[in-house]
Amino acid sequence: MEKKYEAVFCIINAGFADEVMYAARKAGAGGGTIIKGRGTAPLEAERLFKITVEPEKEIVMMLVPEEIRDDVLRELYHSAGLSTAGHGIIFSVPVDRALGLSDQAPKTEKNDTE
Amino acid sequence: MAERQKQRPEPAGASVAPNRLALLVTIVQKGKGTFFADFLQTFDANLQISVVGTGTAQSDLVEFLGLKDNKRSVIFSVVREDRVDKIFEALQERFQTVNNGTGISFTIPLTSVIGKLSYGFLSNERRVVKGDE
Repeated sequence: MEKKYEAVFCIINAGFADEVMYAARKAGAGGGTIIKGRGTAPLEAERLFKITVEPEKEIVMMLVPEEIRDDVLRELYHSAGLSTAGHGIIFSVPVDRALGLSDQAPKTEKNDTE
Repeated sequence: MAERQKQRPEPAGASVAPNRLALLVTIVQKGKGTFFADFLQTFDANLQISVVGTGTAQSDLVEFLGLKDNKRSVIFSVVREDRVDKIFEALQERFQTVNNGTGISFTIPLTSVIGKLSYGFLSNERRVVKGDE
């Protein structure tokens, strides 16, 4: 039994990671890992538009089964997307192989990506 | 220009690296980060970046009571794709046998790398050390 996974990343203003995880769980995701980071934006653009880009960011990283990826992305877009206070950027990348997930058989499994 | 090209002809298929690379992401308990980074280094992973992350609690109650240590080490390693089988076998064993060593690991394919020397470093291919072309 092979199961494909995708890694979903959400780069969001600091303090909004809990909202991201809440939304992801609503769409069926399991756990996630939060990494602190710093965002950058062109200074000229900030001055021109008279806005401040919050430099403190959190990167939420989670592995989700491929079949619920679209649901998770959609839920994150509505709860934590650019139009929300968190100004989240959400994307997913393909995962070749995954190991150690709770819904996985103990033996390693290879996803057929070709 | 033409002479220069003549001196250094581009061999056929030169843009195709012999071994593809992958980004291996390993998430373990914070105290085990160095152990797993050292362990992965034995599989020709020359470039490893380790950062501290936070795991998300499984339930609000556990989080509220502070019963779970949710600090994590997230290790990003660049590895050769043909080594991934052996790495996963070894990691599976370590995840099961090392005390508090459970973790999650996954690979993301890298689509391109520029520079022979960079590729050589990332794949631990020491024959390319003569020059970066």
